[in-house]
Amino acid sequence: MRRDGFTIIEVLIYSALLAIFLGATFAFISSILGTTDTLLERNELIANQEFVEQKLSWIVAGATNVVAPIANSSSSRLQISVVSSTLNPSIFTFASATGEIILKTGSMASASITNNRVKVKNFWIQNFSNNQSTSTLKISLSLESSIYPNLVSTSTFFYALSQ
Amino acid sequence: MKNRNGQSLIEILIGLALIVLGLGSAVVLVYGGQLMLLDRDNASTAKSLASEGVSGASRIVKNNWSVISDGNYGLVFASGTWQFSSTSDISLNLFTRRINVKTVGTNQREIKSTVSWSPDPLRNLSVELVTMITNWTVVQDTGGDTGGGGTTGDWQNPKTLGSVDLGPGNSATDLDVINKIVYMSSKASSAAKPDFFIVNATNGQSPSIASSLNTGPGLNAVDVAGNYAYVANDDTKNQLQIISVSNISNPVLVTSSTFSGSEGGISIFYKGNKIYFGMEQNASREFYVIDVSAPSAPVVLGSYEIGADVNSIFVSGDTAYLATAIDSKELLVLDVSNPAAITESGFYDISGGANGLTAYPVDTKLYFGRASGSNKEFDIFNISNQASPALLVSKDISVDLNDLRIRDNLAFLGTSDSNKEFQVWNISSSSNPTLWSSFNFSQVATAVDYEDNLVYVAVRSNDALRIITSQ
Repeated sequence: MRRDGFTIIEVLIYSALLAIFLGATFAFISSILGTTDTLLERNELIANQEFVEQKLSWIVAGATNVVAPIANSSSSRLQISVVSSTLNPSIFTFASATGEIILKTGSMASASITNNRVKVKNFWIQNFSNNQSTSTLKISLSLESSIYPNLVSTSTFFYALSQ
Repeated sequence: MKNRNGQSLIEILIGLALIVLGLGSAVVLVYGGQLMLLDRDNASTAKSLASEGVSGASRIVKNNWSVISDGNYGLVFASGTWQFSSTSDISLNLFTRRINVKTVGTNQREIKSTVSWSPDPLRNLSVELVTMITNWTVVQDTGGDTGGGGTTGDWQNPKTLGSVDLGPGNSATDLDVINKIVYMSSKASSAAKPDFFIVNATNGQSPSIASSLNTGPGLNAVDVAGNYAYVANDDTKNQLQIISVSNISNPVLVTSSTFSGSEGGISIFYKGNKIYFGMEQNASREFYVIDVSAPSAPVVLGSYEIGADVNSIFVSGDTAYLATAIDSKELLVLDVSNPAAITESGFYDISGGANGLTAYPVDTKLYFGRASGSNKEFDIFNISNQASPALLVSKDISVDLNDLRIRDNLAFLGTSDSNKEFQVWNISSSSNPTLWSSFNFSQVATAVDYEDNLVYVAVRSNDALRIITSQ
């Protein structure tokens, strides 16, 4: 007797194989998409960290004096007197409630220098004053991803002002 | 014939291969993306570390200029200050930072901060930041003569950029360049001719004489600081003259001072409101320290008996390096911390009696030129210990080495060689400097000065100023 088609066993085996294949494919694709998301957020953290660093370098490059924190103390607020009258004074503030760093230069309006895809967990400035430099600033910055709180980036920047 | 439905083995293999390729590509893509991001993260951290390295090391070197020697260092931040430790430092168990300090000229150093890391054993990555720092306190002391930027271009093929004729019978004896304005001293065939010239070399291709002044029979040396030129006069009186050059079109002789001994002034060096003045051998003294904080009323602070011509003076810190005509002390080192009581702190007797003609210290090395006759005209000393300069090498150039300047790894020499008056030596190796290139002038090169990759040469002929370029 000629029997076309598949037996029930064959159908079951093929279905199972297909299910396994589709499942694996789905898991793989979702892992790729998940990783991509993580990468994007990680990228966002680095971009924010670099932007904050660039803003700090920009202001410190024209600095004449560190007003806050005062010599040999620390705080989450950095106020710098700068040469440019339009930028003087320049103030970096840590808004812990919203997780932002706010920069205010001269009489211009305040602006956040971090975006809402990251949260600033820590922004702490130590001002060392001694015979090596009137002000050596040690600035610690911790950022956390708003979407993936396990993604964090911690960095420390040093700036030395001349005597 | 047996009916064979389904796939052949080859089709299955191709199918599998395609699936593997697809999956493999996806894995590589995702992994590659992660790796790229990791590299970017690491590069960002490395840049930050390199930047803080430059900043920290600059602070250390500026504050301890004479203590820190050239070499590789690691950096630590402790008790609020940067400190050097070891030859490199490691951060986050991944980044190795090495600070390289290198002297590139008198009072100028290059700081290179290199941060390297290996994300995997086969990939070595690095970030490098370089900065130049100047010992401003000393530069200010020497009248703002920094020498400008480092050497570039091809110094193996120097060319003349421009030249100036000081007029018939007038030969240049010395020069000093500040911001492309060249102050020249000269000796003329007649005492009635001018002997002090200001050349505007802002356009190096066509330098022009901005003004000139006749101060007497002729001048032997010039050093300019601020608004004043200090000149050594080749006369039996008025040996030191001070000229106001605040208006380069109209130099004005402010004052002249006469020193006993009835011989001419031959060398002069300005540092920190003081003039260090050298004379020809005479019955009185040959070396003087003069306070010129009020240039119109110079005050002699002290003097020292040399007993021979003082051909060249260079003061660094509280130490004066003299090239003299004393046979047993061609290089004489004096402690001038107290001008009222100058003392000898060291000397070097180079074999042969040929006179010392020029001395130029850079960091712990002193470059020295002598008159011909000893087969050792170009000498390099280690002056880490001023009390006993150690001769590192002597090179035979067979002629008088009249003046020299050092920049980076090059020495620019003004000589009496009839075919190679201007010479460039590669001094990368202090033990074996080599002739890099030379240039033929019509007459003897009496003095050289360097500024911004140009060398200004005073020549004892009609074309008295030659500006030499590497471009």
